[in-house]
Formats: sequence, C-alpha cells, structure tokens
Amino acid sequence: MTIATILCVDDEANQLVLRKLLLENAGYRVLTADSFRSALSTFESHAIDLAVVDYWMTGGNGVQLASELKRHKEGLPIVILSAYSELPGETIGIADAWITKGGASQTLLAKIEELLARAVVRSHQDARYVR
Amino acid sequence: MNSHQPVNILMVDDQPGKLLSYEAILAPLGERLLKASSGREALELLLKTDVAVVLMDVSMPEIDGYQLADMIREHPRFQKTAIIFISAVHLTDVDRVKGYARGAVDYISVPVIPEVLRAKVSVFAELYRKTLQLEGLNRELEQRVIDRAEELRQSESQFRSLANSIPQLAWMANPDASIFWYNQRWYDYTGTTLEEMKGQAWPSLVHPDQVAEVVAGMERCWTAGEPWEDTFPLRGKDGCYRWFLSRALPIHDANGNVVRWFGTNTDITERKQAEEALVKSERMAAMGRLAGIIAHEINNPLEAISNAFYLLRANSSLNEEARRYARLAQEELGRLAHITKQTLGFYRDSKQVVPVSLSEILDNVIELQSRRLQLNGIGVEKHYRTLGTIQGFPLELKQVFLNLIGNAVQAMPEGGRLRIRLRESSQKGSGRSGMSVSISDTGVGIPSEHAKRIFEPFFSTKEAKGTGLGLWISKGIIQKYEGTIRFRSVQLGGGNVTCFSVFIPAFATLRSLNATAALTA
Repeated sequence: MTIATILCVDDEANQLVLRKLLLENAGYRVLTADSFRSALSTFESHAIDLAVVDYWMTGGNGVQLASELKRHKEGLPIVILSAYSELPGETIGIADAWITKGGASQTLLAKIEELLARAVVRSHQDARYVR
Repeated sequence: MNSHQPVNILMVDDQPGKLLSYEAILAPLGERLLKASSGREALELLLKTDVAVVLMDVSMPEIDGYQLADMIREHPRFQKTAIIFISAVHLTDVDRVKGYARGAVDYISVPVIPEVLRAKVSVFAELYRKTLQLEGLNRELEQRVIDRAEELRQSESQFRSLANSIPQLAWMANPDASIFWYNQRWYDYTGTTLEEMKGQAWPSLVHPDQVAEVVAGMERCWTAGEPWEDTFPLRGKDGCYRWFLSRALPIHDANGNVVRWFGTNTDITERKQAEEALVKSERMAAMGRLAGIIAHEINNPLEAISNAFYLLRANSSLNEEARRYARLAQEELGRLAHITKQTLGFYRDSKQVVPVSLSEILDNVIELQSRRLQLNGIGVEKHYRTLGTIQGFPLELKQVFLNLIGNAVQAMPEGGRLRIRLRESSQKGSGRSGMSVSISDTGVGIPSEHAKRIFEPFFSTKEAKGTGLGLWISKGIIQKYEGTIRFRSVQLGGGNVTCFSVFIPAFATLRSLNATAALTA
C-alpha cells in the first residue's frame, strides 16, 4: 500500500500550511512549494501523484505551472484552485478539476479522492494509489 | 423721366392769327405746341393726349373759355391741368375769382406781353414736368414695393417649406416669447393645433419634472436676448415623452433689436438611450471587476479559515464542547461562503456570446430539480413550441431559470403542478422578436403586499433558507439582455396560480452583453 503524494503550490503561507494539514489529516503525503520555480524543482526530485495549484501566484499563474507539470508527466491529475469564480478558457484541457476557494473543505478532499481513483483505474496493473 | 422732355401745350383760339402769334412767342420754350381753333377741337385733342398747360381765349364762339374750362375740369384726368385765360376785356377782381373758382390758374390780359406769356407757360410746363416725374417715381416705388412683397412672400413660403422639410420640430416667436408659428413636424409629433399652441402654451408639453427649470432658463435667455439651449422631454401625441435638444436664436433688425426668435427641437432620444446604455454597461463592467476583486480577497482567507475549522473539528485532542464550537463556526462560514458566491460571483462563462438553446437549459434545470419534484409530488408539464435559440451566455441564463423553477418548486411543498412554456414572441413596445418563457406553479402564491418587493435585493419569504437575491439577480441578468421579467399571482378555484414570464430578445445588443460581466450565483 503506497500513500499518495500530493504537491501543493501556493504563494500564500497560511493557506499553504492549512491546506497541507488538511490533506495530511486525510492521510496523504504532502509536499509544498511557494513559487513556480520551487514547485518545478520539487516536482523533478520527487514522485508526485497529484498536484493542487493556486491559480493566481506571483511569478507565473497556476495554469502555466499545470501545463509545465503535464509536460513532465502526462496524465498527472491536477486541481486548480482559484478565489475568482471566473473560469478562464485556457484551463480547459489542462486542469482536471477547478475549485473555487471558500467552499467547504470536503469539496477539495472529495475531488482529490475521485481523481486519484480514476488514475488507479487508468493504470490498473499498478496499485500504488491507495491511502 | 428726362427733365428736358417736352410737354404738350394746348393753345385754343378761334383766330388763327392769334394762335400763330402764341406759337411764335412759346416756340423758344422747346415744348410741343398743339393748336385748337375751337372748344370742341380742344376737347378732342385733350381726350387723345396729355396736356401740361391749356392756353385759351376767354371769348370764343360756340363754347367760350369759361365753359370750356368747366368741361375740362369735369374730367378727372384734367382736374389739375393748368389753364391760362387770355382775356381782351378788362378783368375785374370778381371775374378773376370766378375764373379761379373754375380752376383757372392764371390770367393774361391783352395785349399779350410775350415775355410774360412765355414766363407763365414755362412755369406751368415745368411744374407739370416735375409732377410727371414725381408720379413716375411714385409708380416705380409702388412697383418696387409690390415686387418686394412678392419676393418676401416667396422667401417666406420657401422658408416654410424648408422648415417643414427638416427633421426637427421648428417654431417662431415674437420678441415677447409668444410663439406664432410651428412647422408641420411640431403638429405631427405633438398632435396639437396652432390654436392650442399659440402664445406660451408649449410648456404644457414639457415633462412636469422639468418644466419649471426649462421655463426659467428660457426666460433668462430671452430677457438677455441671448441664444437658448436646453435638453428636456416633450410629450408626443401618444402620451409618451421623448428627449429633445432645444435651441432658439434671436433674429435682429438693422438696429440690433430682437424682432423674432427662431427655435428648433431635435429628437435625441436614441442618442441619449445609447449614452445611458453605455454608461450602464460600463458601470456593470466596473462592478463586475470590483466584485471579482472583492470575491478574490474574501475567498482566499475564507478557504484557509474553512480548512482550519475542518481540522479543529477533526482534532481528537479537543473535547466535545470545543469541537462543537468549531462545527458552529464552520456552519456560519458556509453561510458566508454562500452569500459571497451569490453576491460577488460575477462570472463570464465564455468571452463571446454563443447560441444558447433555452429548451435545453430548461430541461437541464428540471433534471437538476428532479429529486425535489419527486419528493414534493409535483407534476411537470412542458410545452415547448421552439428550441428557443438565442444569443447569450449559457450559465447565467441557466441561473435565471434555476432561480425561477427552484422558487416554484419551493412554493409547492404539498405537491402541485409546474407548467413550463417556451415559445417565440415579440416584445411589447419595441416589437423585437425573441423568446418567451413562462413558469407557473400552483403553490402558496405571492401575497399582493409582497408583489412590489419581490425583485428587491435581500427580500425573501423563505426566512433562513433564502438569501433574497435570486430574483434580484435574475432580473439583473434579464435586463442585461434587454429583456423583461414579470409575474402574476392569482387565486383560482380555491388555490393559487403564480406565473413568471421572461422575454429575451433573440439578438440582444452585443455590446451590452459583451461589455458586461454577468451576475450569477
């Protein structure tokens, strides 16, 4: 049984810490990055199963980061978080889920669970994604 | 007339010798000399020609000088003709007075002194010539007056046809501001007559809210003799007001006095509406941007707080009471998140308008409500006469019908009938074609005391359940499409029937849609 590893990226420290705690509380292994650049280096040095990326960050937005991550690992499930309720057209085909901040914490947890389960179905010979 | 043009001098005498001698005496004057040997011959000549001076012998056979003078004077043409009597007998003053009474102007006694005769005739000839000249001038002046009047009449009629052909309403007023003429367009637009409008009746057509200000402004300009300009609504014959830009210019005479005012009213309703629509859509866009920023600033910390309370609730080191506090806080946060989404969740689901099928949206909303429809025992009737394709943003339109159908479902907790109609129709007033959707329920109804307020923000009858924003937001969205939303709630056969009708133009002004961020919950 392997614990899924989630990379959380946000440039706001409090939010990042609380999100990490939330996901750890749900049983995941969580790595964090507070910038575009550190997210990429963390991603290159660790095996990441899913990424939760803030849409609006200094130094490049979440969509750019998401497409960069997908370029490195095709099929990586990515959740983009945004405080805007606006859905930019460029996220289509890049993010696997789009969640507006401020809703119930369960929404994010449920979505992550769903995406990881789907990833397991896709690679059914590999049963790594179990928490 | 040339001042040296010869005039006719008629000499009347029964003695040819005398006529010859007068001729010789008067020849140097250079006038035309006519001779008559009798009164009859003289009259014949007078009828044929104009004569400046008649020189006649008093004593002639048949008709004597006095009789001839009487006859000449009877004719209106000769009432002023100078007559000089030549008399061989000594004339008393009485004779002279008698002669003057007959209109003679002078007497010459025999023997005739040539210089005296010549001088007298010359004076009268000259007088006649001058009179003729004056008459000529007078006639010329009269003709000029006639010509000028005709020119004026023509230019006035040209002016009026010009004034009737311009697209503006036009009018003329006396210096005292009383209007004496309007062009045809004024009457066509206002449906009034000159009788009704004469003088200062026009303010009765100005919108009551502005009439005092308009009249005061006009009086200021007219007193000062300065051009006037103002913008205000004028009532048309259909009772509707349209906006006009009104101007008046003073027309001055040669001395600079105002002789009349010429005014126009230009219909600027459409321009004004376009300006207002632009301001409104800019304001909406600004509001959308501001709401987006505020939502962003609220949602960010909200997420962190939500997560914190979620973790607190799950924290086993806390006792039950502490976890209950965390749960309460979490519930309240849920409300906060909900209201933020409702009020500030302005979003644009696509950048450009797209064809949207209202029937698809309605089916989609009914599908979303299917569980509640089933639970409440509500029967659904759908009457779609069209696919209902319009240009718009799908998500915000879905929001409208989610609100309306959701309200209808909530109004029927004990079951009932939900009837949804979709058909093509045209907008009352504007005549624009579009789609009409009506949603009716047999629920609790809307009491008349609530009727005026249901589209107001934060008005809710659902107490804790509703935000009171659904209908307000729906109305905002429909207005953005330049559509209408209205409702009726009536008691029918012991129950209530409430029907909301929405009209959406098939092609809303794209600018108003694209420039505006849509309001959705």
